[in-house]
Amino acid sequence: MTAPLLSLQDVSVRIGAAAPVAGVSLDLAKGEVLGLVGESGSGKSLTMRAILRLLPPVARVGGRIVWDGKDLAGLSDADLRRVRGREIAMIFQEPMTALNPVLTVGRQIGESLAVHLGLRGTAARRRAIELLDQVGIPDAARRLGSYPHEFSGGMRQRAMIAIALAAGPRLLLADEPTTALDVTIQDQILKLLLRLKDELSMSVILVTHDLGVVAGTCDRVAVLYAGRLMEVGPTERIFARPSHGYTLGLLRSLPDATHARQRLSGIPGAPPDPGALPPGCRFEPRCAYAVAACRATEPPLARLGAELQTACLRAGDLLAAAAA
Amino acid sequence: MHLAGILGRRLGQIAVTVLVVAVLVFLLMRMLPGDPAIMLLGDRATDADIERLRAELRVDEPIAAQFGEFLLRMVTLHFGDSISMRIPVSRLILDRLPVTLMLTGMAAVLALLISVPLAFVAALRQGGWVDAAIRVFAQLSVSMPVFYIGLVLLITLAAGLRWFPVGGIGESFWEDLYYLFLPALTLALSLAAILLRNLRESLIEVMHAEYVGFATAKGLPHGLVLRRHVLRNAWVSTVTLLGLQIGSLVGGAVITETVFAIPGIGRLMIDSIFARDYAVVQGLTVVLAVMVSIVFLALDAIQAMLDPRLGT
Amino acid sequence: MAAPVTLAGPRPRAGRLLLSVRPPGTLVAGAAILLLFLICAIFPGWVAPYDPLEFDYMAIMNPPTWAHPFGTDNFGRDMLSRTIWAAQVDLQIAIFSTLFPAIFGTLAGCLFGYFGGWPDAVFRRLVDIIVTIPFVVLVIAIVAVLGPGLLNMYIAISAVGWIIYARLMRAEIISQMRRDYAAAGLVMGYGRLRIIFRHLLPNAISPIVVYWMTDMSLAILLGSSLGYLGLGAQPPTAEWGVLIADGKNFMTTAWWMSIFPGFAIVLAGMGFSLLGDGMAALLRRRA
Repeated sequence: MTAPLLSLQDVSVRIGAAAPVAGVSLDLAKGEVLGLVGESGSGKSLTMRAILRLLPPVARVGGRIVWDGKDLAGLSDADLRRVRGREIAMIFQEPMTALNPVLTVGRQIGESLAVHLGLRGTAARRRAIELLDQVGIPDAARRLGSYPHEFSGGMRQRAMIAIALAAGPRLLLADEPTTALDVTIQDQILKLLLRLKDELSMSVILVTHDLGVVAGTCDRVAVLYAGRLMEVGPTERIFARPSHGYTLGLLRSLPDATHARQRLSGIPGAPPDPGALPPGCRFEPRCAYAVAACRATEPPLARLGAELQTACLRAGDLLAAAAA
Repeated sequence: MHLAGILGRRLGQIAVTVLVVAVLVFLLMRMLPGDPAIMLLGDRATDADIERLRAELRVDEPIAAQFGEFLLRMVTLHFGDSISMRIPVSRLILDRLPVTLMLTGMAAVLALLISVPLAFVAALRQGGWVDAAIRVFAQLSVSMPVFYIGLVLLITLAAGLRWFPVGGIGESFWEDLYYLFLPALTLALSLAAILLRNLRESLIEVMHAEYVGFATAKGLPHGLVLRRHVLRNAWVSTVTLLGLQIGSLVGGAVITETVFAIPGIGRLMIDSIFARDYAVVQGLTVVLAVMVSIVFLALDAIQAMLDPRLGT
Repeated sequence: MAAPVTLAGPRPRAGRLLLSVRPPGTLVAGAAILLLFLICAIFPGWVAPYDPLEFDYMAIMNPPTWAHPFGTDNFGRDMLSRTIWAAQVDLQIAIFSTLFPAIFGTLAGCLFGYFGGWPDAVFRRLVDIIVTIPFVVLVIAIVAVLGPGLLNMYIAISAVGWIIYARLMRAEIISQMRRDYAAAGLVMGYGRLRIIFRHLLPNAISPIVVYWMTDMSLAILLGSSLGYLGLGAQPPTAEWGVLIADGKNFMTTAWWMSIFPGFAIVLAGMGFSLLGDGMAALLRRRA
C-alpha cells in the first residue's frame, strides 16, 4: 500500500471551550479526488483551513497533518509558506471576494510565479498566458490585464483556479468552489477541475454540501457531521449502500427526479451547538435508527472491510436492510 | 478607461460651482449698504477716482451688465487694488499664495507620515493597549481646537525649548521649511487623527477580506500581503477622506496663520475682512473656490487610478 | 487571516425596551463629563472657589498652586474660577449654534429628499458649493459682514450649518423611501406628510441625533476659535477661547493662562464626542 499523499491524524480545532472539529483522521491517496461533505457548520471549511494554518490564532489546531513526510502542524511559518501555493493550493467559494479587486489577474498570477518559481518578466507572462489557456479563458493574452470585476462569474472562478495553480501544486483544496455558481457553470467548473487533475497530476479535496457534486466528481467521500467524521468510503458504495444513519438521512432527503409530486423528507432537528454536544454519537438526537447504546459513548470511526470506515453502531443493520 | 468622462464631468461641476460662488460674492457686495466704488476704494479716495471706478464698474447700468463686467474682471484677474495696502490685489494674492500652499502641503505630508504607520500598528495590534493608546491620542487631537494646538506647540517647543522660531517665515525655501514646521505640525495633528481613525477601520476591514486569506494561502510573504493586498485596498477611502478634508485644512490654515503670524492668504483673508478691504475679500474668495475645486479634480483622478472599479 | 469563525450559540433576543439594556460605557462616560460641565454652567458660584471678577494685585500671574490650581492671570483673577464661569457661555454656544441648524436642516432635508424636483437640484448645487469653501471661512465672512458678537456668530453658523443636517437627512430619507414600508404607506392611502413625519422620519433620525452630538463638540471648537480671534464672544464675557486669547500675550511669563482653559475645551469636546459614540452604539444595538 503506497503511502498516502496527505494524512490527517486526529486533527481537531478548538475555539474556547468548544471543539468544532474533533478527531478527524483521513488519508488522501495520490491522484484521488476526495469529497468532504457536510451541512453548514459541520466543520468542513475549518478542517481545510487548518491544513494550511489559515485560521485565526484563537482557533487551536491539534493532531498531525502529515504531508510529504513532514508534519505541517509543526512547521515554522517560513517553511509553511513554502508549502502554501507551491505544494498545496486552495480555492475559495466566492471568487469575487477571493480576488483582490485592485490588481489585474495577470499580477495576481505573477505574484505566485515570482515568489515560488522565481519567474519574472516575459517568462512569467508566457506562463501566465499558458495558465489562463489551460483553465479555458479565451483571449488569454488580453485578459491578463483585466481586473476581477471585468470577468463573468464562471470566468472569475476559472481565473481564481489559474492563480491558485500557478506554482504547480500537487494538492488542491477546493472549498465549495461551485456553490456560488449557476448549475450550468457548476458543471463546467467541475469538469475543468477533473481535467486539470489529470493534466497536472494533482489530487483534490473537494469540500461541498451538495451530494450531487460529490456523486459526479469524487472517488471517495468523507461525511462530516458536527465536527466528526461519520463515514468514509468510495463514493459509489456509500451512495448505493450507506452505512451511517446520517448519510442515509442525507440521501433520503434528495428529491427523486424520476417521481413527480413527492413529499420531501428532510432530517428533523438541527445540528448541535458545538458548546453543548450530546453525550454519545453526535447525530443520535436526530437519528431514526438510534438505540440506547448510541447515547452512551461516542462511537469511534471503525473500519468495515478494506475500503469503508463508519462511526455508526448500527452499520451492520443498515447495510443488511439495504441489501434486502 | 472612462477617466476622461469622470474628469470632464467634474470640470463641468467646477465651472458651475465657481460661477455660483462668483454670483454670490457679487450679490453680497451689492447688498451691502453704500456705493460699491467707495467701498472698493476706501475713504481716502478722491472724487475723481470714485467717478472713474464707477464708470469702469458700470454702476449705473443694468445689473446684468455689472455682473458681466465683474466676471470679465475676475477672469482677467483684475481684482482692483487693496485699500489698506495700496497694491493690486492680484499681486497681493500671488505673493501670499505660495506660503499657504507650502503650509498646507507640508501639513498634508506630515499628516500622512503620522497617520499611516500609527494606523498600521493599531490595526495589527487591534484590541491591545497600543491600539487603545493610539485611539486615545487620535480622540484627543480631534478634540483640540487648531489654535490651541498651535499655542501649546508654540509655548512648549518654540518659546519654551526654543527649538523652533515663534512665527513668521524665513528668507529662502529651506528656511521656510524650518519656520513652517510647527504651523504645519499643528494642522497635521488634527488631520492625522481623522485620517488615522478612517485608515485603521479600513485596514481592519480589509485584513479580514477573503482575498487576503487567498493571498496568504498562495504562500506570499506576510510583508507583501500587507503592502500589496491590504494597504492598496485600504487607503482608497482614506485618500478620498484627505481630499474632502481640504476644506477644513484651509480653514485651519486661516487660524494657524493667525497664531503664528504667517503672511499667507489665510491671514490675509482675516485681516481684509476686519479692514473692510472688499476688493481683497472678493478676489480671495474666487481664488479659493478655484483652488479647492482643482483639488477635488485631482482627487477624482487619483481615486480612479487607485480603484479600477470606478470609471467603468 | 481567514474569515472569522462564529459559533452557532443561542442569540439573546434584542430587548425592545431601552431600559432593560445596559447603556454602553461611552454613553455613561460622556454623560458624566457633560453633567460636570452642566453643574459648572448652572451653579458656577457654587463650584468656583473665587469670584472670577475679583482682582488681587497681591497675586498677579501666580503659577498653579494649591490655592490657585489653574494659576492667576495678569489681574490676579483666579483662572480656575474664570474657566468655570466661562462654562455657561461655551455650553450655550454648543446648544444654540446647533439647535436651529439641526431642526431646520432636518425638516428641509426631509422635504428635499421626499419631494425632489428642482428645489432638490438647487439644494444639491448648494451642497457642492458649501463643501468647496471651508466652513470656518464662510462663518468668519458672515460675521465680518454682520459684526462680531455671540448672536451674529449664531446667525452665521446657523446660516451655513443647516445644510449639513439637511444633506444627512435627505440621504437617510431617500434610503428609507426605498424600503417596503414606505410603499405600503402609500398603498394604504396615507397622506404624504403623514408618511414623511410619522413613518420615515423616526426611522431616519438616528444618524442625525448622533451627528448632533458630534456637532455640539465641533460648535465649541468653532466658537472658541472665533472667540480667540475676537469675532465671537466679546470681552468682558468670559468664554474659553477669549480666555486663551487673553493669555496669548503672556505665553512666556504665564503659560497657564492659555493652557488651562484649553483643557476645558478638550474635555467638553470629548464629553460630547463620547456621548455621540455612545448614542451610536446604543442605536446600533436596538436595530
